[in-house]
Amino acid sequence: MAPVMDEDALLADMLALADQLKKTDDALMAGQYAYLRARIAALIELRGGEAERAA
Amino acid sequence: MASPAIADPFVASPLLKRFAGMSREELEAYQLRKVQALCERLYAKSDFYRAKMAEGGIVDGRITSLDHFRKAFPTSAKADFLKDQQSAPPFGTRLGVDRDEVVHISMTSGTSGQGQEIYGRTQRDVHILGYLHALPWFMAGLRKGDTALNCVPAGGMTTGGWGPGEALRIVGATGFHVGGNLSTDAKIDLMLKLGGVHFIYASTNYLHTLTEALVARGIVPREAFPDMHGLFIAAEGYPTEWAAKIEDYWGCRLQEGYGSTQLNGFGGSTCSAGVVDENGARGLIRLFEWEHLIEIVDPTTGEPVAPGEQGEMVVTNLSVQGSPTVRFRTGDAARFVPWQEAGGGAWNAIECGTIGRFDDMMKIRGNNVWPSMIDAAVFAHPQVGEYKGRVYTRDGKTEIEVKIAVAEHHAGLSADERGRLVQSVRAAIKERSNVWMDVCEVPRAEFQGFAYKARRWRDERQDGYRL
Repeated sequence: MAPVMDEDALLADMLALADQLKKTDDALMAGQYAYLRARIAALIELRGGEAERAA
Repeated sequence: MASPAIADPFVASPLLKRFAGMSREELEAYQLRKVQALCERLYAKSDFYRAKMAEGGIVDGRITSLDHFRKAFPTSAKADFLKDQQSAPPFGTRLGVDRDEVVHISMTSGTSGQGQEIYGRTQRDVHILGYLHALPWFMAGLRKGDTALNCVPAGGMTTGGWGPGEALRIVGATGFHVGGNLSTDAKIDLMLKLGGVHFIYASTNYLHTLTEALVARGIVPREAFPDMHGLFIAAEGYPTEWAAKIEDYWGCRLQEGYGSTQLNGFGGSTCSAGVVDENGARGLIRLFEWEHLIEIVDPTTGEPVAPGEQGEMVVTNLSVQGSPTVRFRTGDAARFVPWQEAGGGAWNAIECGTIGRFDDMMKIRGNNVWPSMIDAAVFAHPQVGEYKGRVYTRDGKTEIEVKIAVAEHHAGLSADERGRLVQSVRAAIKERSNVWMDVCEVPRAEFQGFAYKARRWRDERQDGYRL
């Protein structure tokens, strides 16, 4: 049996990583990192979490 | 029914099972947390909603209970949004996020004639937009790897233009966005070449048109598309007889959703239960109450309607960042079914197939008549392909004309049969609306270009009073 995965914790970690990426000085990448972060935040939101308060 | 077995969506998704398993108390506690966060944010970020809160005596955006929210937070309507937009174009002061967070816009269609609302959405909202289409479609049977036909025109500036594409990508299905860019015959030709179609999303009216065209070509949908496991409709009312016939033609369940631009997608659906139950009675649209707070109120008093009564849907987004709607009066009329009577779970429901518009209501000879009522009467006759109605004044008297067209696959009806059909439709309309209307038959060709979102009724009574 596969180990139980804590999806909420993984998403929180990913949000923290995406927050770091969002601090880039690369203007070409900035919007794409914001897009990535927003998608992770949306997944946290629709699972019942509160990404924006946690951020 | 030959529908292929699809895993129960509540078994296939632990997340969905969690929301479905909530008690009413847990659900309302969840809603309250979301409402509190929303109001605090809007108090800080939206002049429009801050003014609303001041009007209702809400201090610093603090909401203490759902009851407090419902009683203190004033409702908004389309006219309020349009006025706000005029004073601070393009988004008004209800945006609620920084302007540079807006990456997507949705506009209402403008069919009301009052003007178009504009909604600014963030990156996160775009995902939620897709999710709020994917959620009901997943429950309706859409799965990763499926071939899906989206018959609603894609792109443009409407919620329905972008939500389906996002949804199909989220689920992992392959979308063919055929709406608005292929004729019905060309769609059928394409469908026959795809090597299997699993899911169709269409307006009620268009699913009818597509089915009629298939049958007219001698194609039996359930035989031509044996892998189909979900048909999903929205937007218009229909009779249960029609729904049962559609399920029979296609060999799979028909599901319905209630959605809007104001909801950023769907606010509820028949889930996997179908639009008619095993006894042929109307099914229920269960409301996604963890995503939206939906009140059903008396449009005059603003008080919640009693179970079984028809009321106006008042909606609040719980997961939308940009241009959220808070206690927005939709003008949509639905029959309220409380969660205790909805067959399990804690989600409230509305009756499917009968959602109408309060502003579409026609007062005819002292009777309240909704177009959905007439739809139900007319389309209870499978021989009818389409119809349109006109209310006008002649010699100071209100007259109602209903033109029906025989469906192409019933083109062989004799003159006698057509005469009996007209009389039967007339009687059915009288039975449902209490109004006698003049019914006549016209050629099907009179209804060209009538396929996507039908506006079947014209009220020309004011013209009759012009001097």
